[in-house]
Amino acid sequence: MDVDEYDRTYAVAVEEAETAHLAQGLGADGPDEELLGTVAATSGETDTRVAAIDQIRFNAVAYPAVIELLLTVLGDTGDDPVVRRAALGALAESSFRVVDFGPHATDYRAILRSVATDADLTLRERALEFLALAKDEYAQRLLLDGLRDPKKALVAARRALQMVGHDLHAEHYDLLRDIVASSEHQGIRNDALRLLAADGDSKDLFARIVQDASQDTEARSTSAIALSSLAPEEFASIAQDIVLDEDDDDDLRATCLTTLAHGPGPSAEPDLAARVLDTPTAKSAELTRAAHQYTRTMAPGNG
Amino acid sequence: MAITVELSVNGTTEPGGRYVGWTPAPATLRVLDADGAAAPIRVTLGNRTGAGGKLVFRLERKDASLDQLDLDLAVHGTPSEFFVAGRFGSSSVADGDAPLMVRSAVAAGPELGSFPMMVRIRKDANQLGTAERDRFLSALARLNNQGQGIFQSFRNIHRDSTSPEAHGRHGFLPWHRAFMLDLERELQRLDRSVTLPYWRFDRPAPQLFTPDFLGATDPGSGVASFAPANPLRLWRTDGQLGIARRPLFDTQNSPAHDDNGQGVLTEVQTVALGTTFAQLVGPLESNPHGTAHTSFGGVVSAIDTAARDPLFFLLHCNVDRLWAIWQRRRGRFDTQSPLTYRFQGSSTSPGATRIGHNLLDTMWPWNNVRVRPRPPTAPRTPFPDAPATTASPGNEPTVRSMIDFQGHADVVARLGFDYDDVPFEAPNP
Amino acid sequence: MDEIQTEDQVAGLVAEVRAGPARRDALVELLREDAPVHAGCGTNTTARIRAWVLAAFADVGLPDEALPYVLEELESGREPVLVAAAATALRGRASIDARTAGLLARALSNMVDIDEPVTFESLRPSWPAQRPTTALLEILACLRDADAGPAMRAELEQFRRDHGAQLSQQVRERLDETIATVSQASRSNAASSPNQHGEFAESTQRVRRISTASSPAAAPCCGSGDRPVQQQDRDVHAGPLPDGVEFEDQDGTRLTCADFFPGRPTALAFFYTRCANPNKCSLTVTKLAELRRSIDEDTLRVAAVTYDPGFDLPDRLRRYGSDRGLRFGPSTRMLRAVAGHDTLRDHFALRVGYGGSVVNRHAIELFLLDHRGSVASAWSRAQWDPADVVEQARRLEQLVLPAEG
Repeated sequence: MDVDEYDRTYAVAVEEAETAHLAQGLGADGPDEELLGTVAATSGETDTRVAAIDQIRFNAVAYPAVIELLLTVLGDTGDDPVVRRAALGALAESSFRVVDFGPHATDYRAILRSVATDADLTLRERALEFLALAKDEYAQRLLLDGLRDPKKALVAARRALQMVGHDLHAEHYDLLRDIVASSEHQGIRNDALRLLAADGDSKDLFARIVQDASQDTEARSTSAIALSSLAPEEFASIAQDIVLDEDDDDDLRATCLTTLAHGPGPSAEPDLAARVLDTPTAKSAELTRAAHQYTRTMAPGNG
Repeated sequence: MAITVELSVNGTTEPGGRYVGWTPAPATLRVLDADGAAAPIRVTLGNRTGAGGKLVFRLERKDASLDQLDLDLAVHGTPSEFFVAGRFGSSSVADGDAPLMVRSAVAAGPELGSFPMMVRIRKDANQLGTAERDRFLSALARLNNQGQGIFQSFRNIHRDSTSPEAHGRHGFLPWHRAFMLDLERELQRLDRSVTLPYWRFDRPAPQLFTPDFLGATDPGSGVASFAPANPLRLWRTDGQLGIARRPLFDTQNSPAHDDNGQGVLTEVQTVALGTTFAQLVGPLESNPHGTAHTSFGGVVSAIDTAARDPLFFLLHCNVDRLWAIWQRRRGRFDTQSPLTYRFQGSSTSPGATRIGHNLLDTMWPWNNVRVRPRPPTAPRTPFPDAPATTASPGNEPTVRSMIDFQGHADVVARLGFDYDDVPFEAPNP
Repeated sequence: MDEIQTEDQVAGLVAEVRAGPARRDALVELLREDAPVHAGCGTNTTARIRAWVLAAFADVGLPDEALPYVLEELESGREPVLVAAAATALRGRASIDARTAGLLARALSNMVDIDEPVTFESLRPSWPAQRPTTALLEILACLRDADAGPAMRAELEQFRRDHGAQLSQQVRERLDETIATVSQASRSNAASSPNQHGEFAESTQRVRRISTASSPAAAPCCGSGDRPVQQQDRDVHAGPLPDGVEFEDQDGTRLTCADFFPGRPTALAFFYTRCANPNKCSLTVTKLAELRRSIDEDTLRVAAVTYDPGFDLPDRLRRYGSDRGLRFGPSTRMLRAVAGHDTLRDHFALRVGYGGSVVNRHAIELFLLDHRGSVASAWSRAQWDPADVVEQARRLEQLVLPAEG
């Protein structure tokens, strides 16, 4: 590659970007009043207001009035939800500037909590997710209430479960076990299994599921991975049997091989994968790949 | 003739030293056995033809790079010094695929040595070959070790409770450069050929967000889904299995943006943010950095949880690359210039900013300082040595030590990494 | 006595105590980590209930027995609702001494980067709230009304310099108001008797005197004759460690109490790796490592036992300890109870609550066992000082009879 040629094209592009940037209506003192007015005008066109937000969000934390305007828009339950979502996006990216955003942080949190019960589903979901990631007590309470009583649900059950699951200290373990035991929805059941992987009391559940060929493969795979962390020795022997069982699901066998190769458990046999590859039975591409990877990883001197 | 020669790169004859980027690395060649020769032996250094990485050579660091270099070697074994680097654009794809060939300079002279080397470069994750990708994933998964490995310490450094060390002030960029380098060196302890790839978020990255790499969307579960043979399937942080990640943009066809279409700044727009560091760092931390984080729902979208997702490291590798591009474009390697880094001095200097963000301050956690305002514990200390390629930044890096990563002012300061599209040579104005 | 099991019962009790303080002691019982109402709850729920109880003390008076909980929260707490409640609770005291004021200032630093809106208008508040406040606002209000003294002024001014830019206008105004008030206040009227534990108020420590016929009396830890504040909870068992407990250490080695503890004193801390508060377990183990470095293995064993034996398997224990500088050895181990965890919990009257298998809350706790394995001293709730533990251990060492050594 010719460094000079690369540089020449690059320099031109930067110059063009600089010119475009300056034309954005953002002066040294921040966005002009007209732009702010466009954002604030609740009667304005959605697209125009969103475009205006897109401009004022540039380095917004440097201008407290801009953040305050965005917070006002977000918190205005009567305002256009699309515009409010744009405000939320601008605030979310600004919140990474922890010092400059600091003066607004508690207001932002309070408004997110009030948006958690908003009429607009997308706004609710976004607000609840930010709150749930912050392990907010109010958000957890709302989500758990909704999971226990569907009439109170603010978002779909699956989403609620995922959000509560961000905090391993939330009190959702009884819910999770109920779902695993009795839910007919395979997807949510698998979600619950994944979240239970942090629960020491569920070891036997995982051992049971992974060895039960009538269970959903994804559920068995999740159970395998969960068991490998909770009870490495028990897992190692179960996994070895599964890997060598040609009648069992190839994806599950591949998962078990990968787990054995990359886990903290007892050293598995180095030639386990070779035994798998050795047989004449057809194997899926994933199983073959997992087997080769196993051999590579278990080779002496590796890592 | 049975002349034998010995190569030393990065100060060692061990194979561990034979990794270079675009940054010229100090090297020597000397005669071990002159086989009766009396006069200095002239050799040519060069590359093997065919596939693989390619090297360039210089006598002095300031010289233009050459594809071949002639050296006169003293018969009594005094080393001859030169510099070796990768040829810009010709990085390796496998360890040792860029051998340094030493031939007698006599016409049709024999080959005197072939020393496997690697042009080891941080690359665009979307363009990694399958083997490179898999080596990276395997090393990363072993670092995680199903939640029991040292990756948890990396995760624990990056929390809300520790965020003043790394965010919101100018130290944001140098701190994260150190953080990325820390992880990369740990990966290289497991596999020397591995580097941290970057997620180029201002372009679509369809190869990255797939079950075979960093995971595809599973819209129902909200968790990244992986192929059965992908070791990231076992990823655990905080004791929990899985990576909660939900793209708000079309990962196959679009650059990163949130669900309102608010997108990341392009690379040139980022470079155009300003000519001084102070003009760059603040806006960049919002966009493209904050915007990239919030282009997904899930753990990567909040500071406290972002380091649970390995994507965090590829994201920040790109943020670091943007800084590197800007540095080169603006000529900002001189650590003594406030244009390169505004807060000169230490935390006790007049006009200083918070400790950890001034040029001469050491950075938590690697400095093991646990006195307030620093956090009460320091999970990763000291900063790891590079396996044999450079002595910088030492065990307690300062903000300063992160800036001149290619060692322009002092070859010793080089940090041992380079980006595929950030050359060593200054741009020709 | 009726046991409070549900949130509604908590609300009922609080209402009752507001009407008449007769059952105020029962409120204090609810602050115990192992109180039945907290069993099965998640961490946030437990915090919310505790905060509700603490906040009530502002109106009904804050008894001595509740003070350790308040001070613990100020010193080490990282949950804004609890720190705010603790500051609020101090309104139920007639006065606030200099040491407490010092802890309030510490709480300011703990909260400045993670403050949140909170409210005490109901046990299950919804948002938007009628009367929102924040942890920083409550701490500052408490300092403003306290007799904090001129030294506090300097500290607050430094805080303003360090953090002014990131404070909201409302907090900044209250900070300025507090600085102005504090400057004008007279000197603190607190007793300034020397305290062997530095800044820790006696009332924040529960140093128990364990005396049996043959074991040495625990060295007194309190200073000048101020009565150590007694806590109402169960006492730690006197006498040696129970049977039926089997441990596994960070290398997977199995051992019983009898294999490890007797023969020399032991500093025994409790912790767990999933603790989310860096001022608690992470710092405890970091200090344990410091303790280990300051006294040799022959004089003192050092051990940390996990509250979370199902999750904290050996690899995890080893990584957690080594990350914090703990050097393992025959007399330095991290342990999980593979059998008899509940027995252990009872024996030490551990201050821990569980929501299922996951810890929902715990106090900082460190025990100094004598050469027989009996508890000689205990530090609870307050941050303990490794130098203090070393001193206590050396005193114990002197009391060991040579024949038993």
